[in-house]
Amino acid sequence: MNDDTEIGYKVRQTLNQGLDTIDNNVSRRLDLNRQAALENQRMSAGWLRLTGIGHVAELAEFVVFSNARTLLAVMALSIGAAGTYYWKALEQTQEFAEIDSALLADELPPSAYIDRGFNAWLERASDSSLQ
Amino acid sequence: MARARFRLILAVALWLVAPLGQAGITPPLAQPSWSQLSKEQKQILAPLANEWDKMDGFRRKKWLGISKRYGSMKSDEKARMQRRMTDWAKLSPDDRKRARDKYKSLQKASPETKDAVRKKWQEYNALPESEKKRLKAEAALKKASLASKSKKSAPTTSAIIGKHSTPSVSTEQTAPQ
Repeated sequence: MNDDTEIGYKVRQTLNQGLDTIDNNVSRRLDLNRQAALENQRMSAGWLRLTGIGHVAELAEFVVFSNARTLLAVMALSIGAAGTYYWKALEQTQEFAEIDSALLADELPPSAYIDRGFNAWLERASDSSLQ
Repeated sequence: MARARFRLILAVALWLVAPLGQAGITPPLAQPSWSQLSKEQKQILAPLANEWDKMDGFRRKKWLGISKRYGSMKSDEKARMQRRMTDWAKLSPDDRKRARDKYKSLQKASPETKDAVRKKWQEYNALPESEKKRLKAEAALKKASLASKSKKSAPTTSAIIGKHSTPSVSTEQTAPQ
């Protein structure tokens, strides 16, 4: 421990002696660079603290671009699903138009098919004819 | 690892929202309003004049399809159709589905059976109103007891696919009616 302290002390002494003999231009440039580095550090820390939304946007951008293929596949699937739904609905529309026009024009009215009383009466009639 | 998790989350989310997407994101089918119909179409679809603009695109398209077939019908068929249009449009999607299913199965029956059903309908109509009410109440009771039986019993395969335990969600709720 004491050895370390001693070495540190000697290094500092040597550096301080070097500092006395350093060129003024070099010294000024070193100082300017140090100030600039400190300023940049303050700015980036402040940005991270204050602009949470921007950070989230950056993260979202990263997630989107790194998963672009998956997202494209999902979009293609969604378009396919919507297209299938549309196609099925249109097909059903045509089928219903055909059935409904025949059903509405038939001799037997639509109410005959949905009248539960008639249904029960038919069932009873068919039961009695079987007995 | 993170990408795999992202994909899994995305897949689950999509699976959950897929039905909503189909029903909600799909744009409505553009069909003419009542004022945009031709004079002939208005004449055929006159019983639906008040309902037309409230109908969705798929229903309008269906009725336009019916109006196309109207021209090739006999005069008595035309009269019957126009007389029944309003009541038909007011039925619930489930009732319309039931009527269509029964109509389709009757079409497969022999001409003798069809004649017999027509005669029975006439006979049924001649019954006193009290008798009709009694028959309807009897049918409702039977339906309720069948429903409670299917609820009490364990959900076997036959119960799940059986007509009494099948949820009454009609395909028409997302499609033309």
